[in-house]
Amino acid sequence: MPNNYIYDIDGDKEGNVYVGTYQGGISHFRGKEIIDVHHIIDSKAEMYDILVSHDQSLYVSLEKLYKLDLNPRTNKLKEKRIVYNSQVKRMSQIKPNFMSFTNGSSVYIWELGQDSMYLYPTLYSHNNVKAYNILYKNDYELYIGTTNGVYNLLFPINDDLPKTQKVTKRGEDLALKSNIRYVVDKKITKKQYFNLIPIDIFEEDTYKKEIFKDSTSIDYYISDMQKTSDGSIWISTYKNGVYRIKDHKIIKHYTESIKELTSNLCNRLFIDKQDRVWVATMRGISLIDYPRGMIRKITTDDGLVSNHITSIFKHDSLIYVGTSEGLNILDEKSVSSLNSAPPILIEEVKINEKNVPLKGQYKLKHNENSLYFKFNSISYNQKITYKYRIKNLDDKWLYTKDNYIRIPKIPKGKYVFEVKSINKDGLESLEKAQVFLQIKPHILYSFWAYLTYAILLILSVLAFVYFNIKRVRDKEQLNTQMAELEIKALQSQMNPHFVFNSMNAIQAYIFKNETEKASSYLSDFSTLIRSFLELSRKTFISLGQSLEAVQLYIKLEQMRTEDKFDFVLDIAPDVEMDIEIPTIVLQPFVENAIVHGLLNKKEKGILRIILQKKNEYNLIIRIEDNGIGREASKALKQNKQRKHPSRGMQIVEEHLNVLSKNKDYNLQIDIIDNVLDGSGTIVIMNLPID
Amino acid sequence: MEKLLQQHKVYIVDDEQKSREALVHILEKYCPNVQIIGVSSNIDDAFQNININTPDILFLDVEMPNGSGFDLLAKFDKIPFSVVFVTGFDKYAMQAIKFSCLDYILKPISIKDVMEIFEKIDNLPIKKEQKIETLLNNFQANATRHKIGIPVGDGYEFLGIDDIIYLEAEGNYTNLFLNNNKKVLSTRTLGDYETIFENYPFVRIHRKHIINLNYLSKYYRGDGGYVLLYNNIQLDVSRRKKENLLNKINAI
Repeated sequence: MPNNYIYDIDGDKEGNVYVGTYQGGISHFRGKEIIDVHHIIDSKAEMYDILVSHDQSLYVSLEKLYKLDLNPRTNKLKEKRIVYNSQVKRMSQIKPNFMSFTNGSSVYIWELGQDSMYLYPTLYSHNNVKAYNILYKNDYELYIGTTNGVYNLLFPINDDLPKTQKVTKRGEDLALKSNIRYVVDKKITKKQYFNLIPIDIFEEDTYKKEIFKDSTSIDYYISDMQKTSDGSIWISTYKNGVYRIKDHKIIKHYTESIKELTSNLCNRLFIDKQDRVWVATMRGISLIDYPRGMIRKITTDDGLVSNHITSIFKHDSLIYVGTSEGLNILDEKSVSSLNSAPPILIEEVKINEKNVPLKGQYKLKHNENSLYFKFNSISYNQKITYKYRIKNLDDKWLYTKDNYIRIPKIPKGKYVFEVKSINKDGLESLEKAQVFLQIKPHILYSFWAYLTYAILLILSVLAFVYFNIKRVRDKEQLNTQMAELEIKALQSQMNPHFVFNSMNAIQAYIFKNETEKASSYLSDFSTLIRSFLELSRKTFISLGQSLEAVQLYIKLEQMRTEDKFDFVLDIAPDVEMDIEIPTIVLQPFVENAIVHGLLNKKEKGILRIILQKKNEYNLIIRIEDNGIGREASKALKQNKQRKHPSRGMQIVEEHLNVLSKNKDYNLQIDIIDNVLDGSGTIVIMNLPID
Repeated sequence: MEKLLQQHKVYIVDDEQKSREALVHILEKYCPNVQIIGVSSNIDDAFQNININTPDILFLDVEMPNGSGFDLLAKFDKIPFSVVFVTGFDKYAMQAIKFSCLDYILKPISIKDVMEIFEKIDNLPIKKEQKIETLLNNFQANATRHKIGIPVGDGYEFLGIDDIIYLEAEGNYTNLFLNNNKKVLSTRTLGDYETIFENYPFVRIHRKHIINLNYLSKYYRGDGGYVLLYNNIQLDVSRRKKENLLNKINAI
């Protein structure tokens, strides 16, 4: 306010109040905020201290100490009475009906409402002593911090004079140069804290100095010291803000530079019942609500008559503010900057542009993810802004002046939509309005879908493994089969019948002294054996190789049987010798024709092998003999009870079965009994050409 | 004038007594122009004697307990005689001999084979030095570049195995395609080469073709599929050889 003399206050219909001042015209206060603010006393004197005693009396120290009577309903001044006719620096309620005060050089005890008061003579006897604060220790004791050290005052008993004891005497040799200003203590603790410049901490009984490392960092002139119930000492300075000290360390320094104080120039501290620290500064009041971690301010915006605050006292909900321009009383309930913004409610929710009933929680499908929220503060005549966030999507708060918000396309997940209102002082609503959201994933991405995928994957892996194992096993089985076939093929070619007959033949040549024939037969025989050994390791060999071996075999049989049969090999010119045929096919049929057909015939027989191409893809091998034929041979076999079992055919059959199964090689064999002259056999093989 | 048959000085090395006796018997009885100058049962004895009295032809057993026939040849700096190996059924020895195109006879020895050998020696100029060199080169365990003797119309050609890209059957002959864009027609069949190359990175992919896997750049699967070789040569793989090819590729 430009000036401090108010001659008229008037209110208009809208609740605005116009205050006319003597010199400066009109100040404008907004709305209701001024209603409980009372400009009680107009005084040029600095308001050193304010006290509301236990009996609800209000004492104010100006150029004199006044007791003020207010109308309890309107808080208008009814009456003021002088208690002490001189300036009082500090006041303190000590017992229910006593107060103590000091004018800086003397300390008085006054029983409230009485005419007389006690003066502590010891202090009085020192001329230059200045008292700075008064601390109530118990019902019988006070501490006074003075420029001459700390005094312990005992109450007068039975109208005796009050006794004074200088407590720091014992600690004088501890560099106490009598400049103790403040005694900060609560009776519950053992510790006492005395202020020097810089600060020292002393133990109560021994006055032993305790270590306080940060003491030199508080080198500004100290204006006040107070203690909160957590044991923190709060120190205000005239130039450098407020320090909080705990466990012998500065744990926080409050300054205006980081908006924690209205000003660094601090006059007084007041600790209220909720342990909040009220700081009276040259630019308003700062409220450090450290238990709740909040800082607020009260300035002329809230109706203070001045921002130059010299003292502060709080009683119940009333804040008594001593300013350079008088006393203000504010009800904290009506100071908007002390209150949070009005509560907020969500009014309307739309999903995909359709209104839905209000709920605390929404479970939504993957495509129900475009949301709209409308919210409102309970109507209040001030500008409200909002902050909101979608927790889990983006935890950062976003600000808006609109009372609705549109959120397009939220991905699947769980979120909380939160919104708070903010009043013009930047204070938020205590409660936030919130809606829990769950956007379910698309069915293809749901848990069940993933489970299905997992099962399918496992099944396909299992199937893959199973079929691989089966394949390897089949292959192993095939390899075993092929190995067995090799042995069987060799067995069928080198059958004992042939081997021993050949040896027999050689022996016969030796007996007859036909050495050259023996040698020749032997070397052919060994060549044949060698080729049997070599070729039987292969499943397929060339037609040329096969014919070479079979011709050698025939030659040996002819030699052995002294040309019992003739042999004709008839190869069509277009038959290539590099056509591949199974190793085993030729020799067993030739052997059959010779052994079972031709050798049992009385006359000279003939063996014919005819090769011709049926077409580009088929080779025909005909093995013809004019032997006794299969029927006669079978009968002969039974008669003779021959020991050589005809396993050749059986082995060929097995062999060809395996080839058909494993190599996809299909060979067709027809055996025809020669019907022309009732004897002989024709074997016709139809071999695929690869 | 009676044709003067060349007199051959022959030396025989074989660890088996009966085998030596058989060969001596055949030579004495059926080869009148042969003079047997010595017989040994082991290579050390043979080396000593041959150095003193050099033969024209050495009949040399391959498999012997105290050093093989190849070991004996390796001892000589220079070999001024023809070598005829005598072997039973040793696959690797046979392969090595066939590689070098040296002469050999098989046990039991046939009169016909021995006589054919002499006929060959009498009538054909033999590049014996190169053959033996090839043999010994391949026989070395750490040989990096294996060589092979290729019987061609008028003699032999010696090639590095690594130079052969693929072989193609040409009737009873075989065409060898080389990496210098040359083609050699060999008088051996493709089947012979399949046997000879059994332990080399060669694989029969078709009745017409054997390829060198070192030149294989890609195999395209199909019924049988086909391969792409060096220089974009494309060859079919027959159905039944496909597995053979894949096995050999996997084995590398």
